[in-house]
Amino acid sequence: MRQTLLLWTAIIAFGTTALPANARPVSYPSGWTVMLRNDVDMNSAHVHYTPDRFHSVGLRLIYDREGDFVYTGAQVNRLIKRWNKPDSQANIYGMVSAGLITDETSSVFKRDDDAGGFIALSADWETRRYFISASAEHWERGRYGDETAYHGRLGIAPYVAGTGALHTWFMIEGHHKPESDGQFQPDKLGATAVLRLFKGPSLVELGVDDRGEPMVNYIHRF
Amino acid sequence: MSIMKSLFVATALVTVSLAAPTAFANQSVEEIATIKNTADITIGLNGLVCDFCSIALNKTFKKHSAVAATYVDIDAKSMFVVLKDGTNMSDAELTELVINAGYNVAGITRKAG
Repeated sequence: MRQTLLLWTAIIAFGTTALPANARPVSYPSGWTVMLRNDVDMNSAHVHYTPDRFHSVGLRLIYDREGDFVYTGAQVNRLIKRWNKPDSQANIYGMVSAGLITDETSSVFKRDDDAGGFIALSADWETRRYFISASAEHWERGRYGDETAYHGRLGIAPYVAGTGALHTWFMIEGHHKPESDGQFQPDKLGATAVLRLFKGPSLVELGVDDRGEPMVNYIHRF
Repeated sequence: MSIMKSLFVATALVTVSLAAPTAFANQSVEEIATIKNTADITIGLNGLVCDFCSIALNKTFKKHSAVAATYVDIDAKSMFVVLKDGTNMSDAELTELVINAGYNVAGITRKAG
């Protein structure tokens, strides 16, 4: 029953959408943004600066709990296309990152550093009431193993908030990692329920996944 | 604690400490009413769906030397612009700023007289 629910959630998320948790990777010209994501699989920090309305450049730090390694890289995000409508906005973004992977294990079998990076494509559509996003990303990580992942989100706001008010969203996030073996890497297919609270330049997300593990995300635009 | 964990904690602490003073620095009701009542220009906007949009527009416009104050009303899908005395902005300038902030102009109206 739980697996069926999960599967349907994922199908709905992936079938109708695209983008990861940290939406809008390009801000306004001269704007700085900090994006933090923390869940059972990883801690991720992305700090970026937007020089023009199509690009942002920044630093990406990821600690992968499962692989016990750290990725430190430079990341460039590009707004490929935006549709501004009277009651909605839709976006397509491309992201590319290159950097270094270092082992965090303390054993004598510590692995050597290796080059790594990823390429990703994401899309979102949003009104003041509904939110849909999806993304696909592919990692090249040398001796630390390559990975492809798909993410999707559906969201609904219980009320429509005005300027400066507290915005609240209920969201469901699904992910699919086809290369997970389903045994030692059990998160081949997963879902996370998310409460998004958003006021002014700050956005906080609190979530719990289908394994009961917590997620805390934070975004701030300066 | 590993270097990586320390980095994350430091990033989070710096972010929260920098963010806290600005997160709740909303314009007052009186300030908003004044801007709306005295606005020289009202710009209708497309793509306005959240507060990140209003921040982008406010910050982009406030860099312009002719702009004294702004307010973005998500409900009205409009931006109110108060100009400094003796200055003016053309429709082309306004449109360029809106596009630069990431949005589209649906219409521009100016205060009569």
